[in-house]
Amino acid sequence: MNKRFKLRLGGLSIRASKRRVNLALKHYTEAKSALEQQRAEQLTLNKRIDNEINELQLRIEETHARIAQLEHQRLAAVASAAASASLPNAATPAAVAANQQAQPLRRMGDMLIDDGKITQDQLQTAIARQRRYGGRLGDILIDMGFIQPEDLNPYLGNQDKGRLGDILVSSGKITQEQLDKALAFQQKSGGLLGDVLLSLKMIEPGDLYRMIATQNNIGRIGQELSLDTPVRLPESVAREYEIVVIHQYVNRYLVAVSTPLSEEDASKIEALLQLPIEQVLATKDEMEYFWREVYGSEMLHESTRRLADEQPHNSAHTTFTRPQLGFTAVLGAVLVIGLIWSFWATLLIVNILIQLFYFTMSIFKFWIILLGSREGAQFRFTDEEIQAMDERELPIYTILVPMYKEAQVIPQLLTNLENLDYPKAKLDVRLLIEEDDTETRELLQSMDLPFYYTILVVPDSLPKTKPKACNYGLIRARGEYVVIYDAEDRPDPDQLKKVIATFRKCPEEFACIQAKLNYFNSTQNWLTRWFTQEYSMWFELLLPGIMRLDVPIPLGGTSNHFKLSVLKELNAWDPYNVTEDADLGIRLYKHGYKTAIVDSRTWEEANSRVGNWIRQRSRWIKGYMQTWLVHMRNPFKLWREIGAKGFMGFQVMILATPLLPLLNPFFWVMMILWFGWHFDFIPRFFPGTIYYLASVELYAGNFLFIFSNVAGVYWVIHELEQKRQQVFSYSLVRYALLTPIYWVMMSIAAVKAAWQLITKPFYWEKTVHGLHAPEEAELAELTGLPAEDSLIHQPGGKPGTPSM
Amino acid sequence: MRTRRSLVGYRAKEVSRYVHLLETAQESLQSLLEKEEAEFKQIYEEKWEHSLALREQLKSLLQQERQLAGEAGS
Repeated sequence: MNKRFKLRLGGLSIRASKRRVNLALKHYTEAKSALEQQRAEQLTLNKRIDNEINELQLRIEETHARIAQLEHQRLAAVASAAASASLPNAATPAAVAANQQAQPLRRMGDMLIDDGKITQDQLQTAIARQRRYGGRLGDILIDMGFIQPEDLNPYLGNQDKGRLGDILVSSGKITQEQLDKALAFQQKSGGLLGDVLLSLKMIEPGDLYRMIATQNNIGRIGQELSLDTPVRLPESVAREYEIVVIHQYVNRYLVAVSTPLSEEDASKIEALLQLPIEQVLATKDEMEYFWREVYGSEMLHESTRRLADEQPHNSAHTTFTRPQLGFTAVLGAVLVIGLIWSFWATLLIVNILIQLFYFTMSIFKFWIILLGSREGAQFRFTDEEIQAMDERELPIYTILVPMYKEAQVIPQLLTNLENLDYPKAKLDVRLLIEEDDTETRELLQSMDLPFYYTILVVPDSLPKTKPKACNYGLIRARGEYVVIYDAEDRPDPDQLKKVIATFRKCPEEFACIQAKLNYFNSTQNWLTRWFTQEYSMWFELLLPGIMRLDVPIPLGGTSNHFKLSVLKELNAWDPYNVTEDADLGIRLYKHGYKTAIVDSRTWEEANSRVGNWIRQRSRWIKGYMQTWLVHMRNPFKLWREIGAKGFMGFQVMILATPLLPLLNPFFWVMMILWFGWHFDFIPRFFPGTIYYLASVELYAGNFLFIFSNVAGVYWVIHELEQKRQQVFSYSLVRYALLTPIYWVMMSIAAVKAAWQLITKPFYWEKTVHGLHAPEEAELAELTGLPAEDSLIHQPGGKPGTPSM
Repeated sequence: MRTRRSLVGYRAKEVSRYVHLLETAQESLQSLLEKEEAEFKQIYEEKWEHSLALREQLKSLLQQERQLAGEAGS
């Protein structure tokens, strides 16, 4: 009940009043929805009858034109006959018959003309319709009234077309050798024969689908891909059956399908549309086009609003809730009153709380790192185990690649994806391009990409974030599993197989597998060295430790592999959160799902410029702040949902990450003031025990933080040495001594993040990629391929473009 | 309809006024629904008649075309 009533003594009983109002409200709502439903039905009927009238009028006009043409021809024939009465007849009936015999494979349309069943103009009219919308020529001729079904039947070939491979060979689309090769591939890796043929580039999608249509006695989509639909099926129905209504002929709807519908499904659709349907087969890309044209607004809404609408409590759409603002105001007021009442005592209390926070966070973090260094903290597989996997049992795998103005890394991206050791017929690669990124789009469209790539243009709308693009790409994803890679990512070739092996090994509740990220340009400069140390610690020790401890895992930005069904169940990524990955890790945990770490790496490009690095880091820190604020809207509820251990882990990972860099500068300044000038007020902050606690944090804490970075790098070097892949140099270690400079940069980024959280919470700070041009030898080292075979040659043009 | 009273409750006038407002709105929606239904029926029937006429016209034109084509063929 929205209406609020004033209270009074001796008033109407609240419960009874509500019952009465609710009843009236129910009747009102029912009447309103009945009216809306009636209007929607009337609109559909109106559109349908208007469309029918338009179609009939068009046909009448066309018929008039054909009649005029016939009359014109008749008059011309009469005149011509009179003029050439004396000339010998060049084409005798015998010559016509001989000519017909010389063309043994005559098409149905020609035969119908020859037999006087239809005219040439009628055939052309029907062909024009077919070219525009698609469908079988015979059906169009019948629908247009040019021929009766019983007159057409003798011209129809054998309805039983046989196997697809045989049809393709007999029609000359592929050779018998190609078919044998494709069948051998299918025998080894499974999948549909058509997909195998396309993955081997033995046939064009259009030709294949024409043959599949013939095999199933249905038509193909029109060449012009025209869309002129009077009705739209509800998006949920269209998605369930994978169909789009594209046109209405007078007596039936033309429905684009990517696989022929069963008779039962076709009947259901006909019942829903209240008209017969004719199926026309569309390729994957054609379906994507229709889908975007017809359901574009729904897709956009789903990718931006679904989480906020269905689970507002989990969405960062609202940055600060009223209770949070109220609590902050109260806390601020208490602090101000405390400072007025007793300035030094208040600051001392604040300092004690901060020191305890530092101490607890440090201990917890090191405990996690110790756990992460133990055996079994990550899932490991030998090369033999991966090679022994039966490819026929591998499912379809969706790869989402969000991009923004990264045209220069596309050749590299394609090479990296092609290097994946996974049956290509079972890949569903979705390249997500922003609408205003014409350079990338044009480049991709100009390339002859294999069939398993889909270029999706994400409509321009706010928020313009990577999670929105991923949500958009996920809507029609075909895979059982889904992974995100950035455009510059170089995943280990066996990563997908290792992930599937991990999923198979894990209990059902494991819904996400995180691969380890690291940097291929670690030696580029000091910044990339520090960044590599940090990432090595984070992905090699910290995240495996979190997995072992079973607390929420803030996922890394890429190379997180999900069960697609679970991802959809959770409404996927939050488009308003700028670290949607970390947030999703928390939501997975809240819903009882778990995440594991697999021993497989994805090599990325470390930011090598300070300004660029600060932009990226400020986004990450802002995202952690958003994530903390979202899930701490009701701390008691969060505690109940994830338990004490999970709650503690959440604070260590999500609160400490942005808070410590914000607090650090205050203590650094105090330290400088003390060691430089021995200011008298500083000892007042650190009386007795607090001094010792802070000293432990200063000396032991800083040492351990640096040591953990060193340990992380050593860990990677050791593992890669065992795999005979020497990527990192031991010299990387000595730069750890200068890590405090890196922490200063982190604090600068944290201050920027805090400011942006208030001013521009959803703003996505773009990161420039492509600043590092890898040497061929370096790439060869990473991939294990000889230099000349390895990956790519960096294209020319300006290096570095912003990325998501 | 009488509603029970309690020690502390809503003001009767406000509740009645709100319920009356909802009932009036519901009635007006109902009458709008019936009106629109009748109007649509009439418009749709006209369009249907028009469609039938067009079908007949097309049919006879196709017949004429067939006849002309037959004559040209012979």
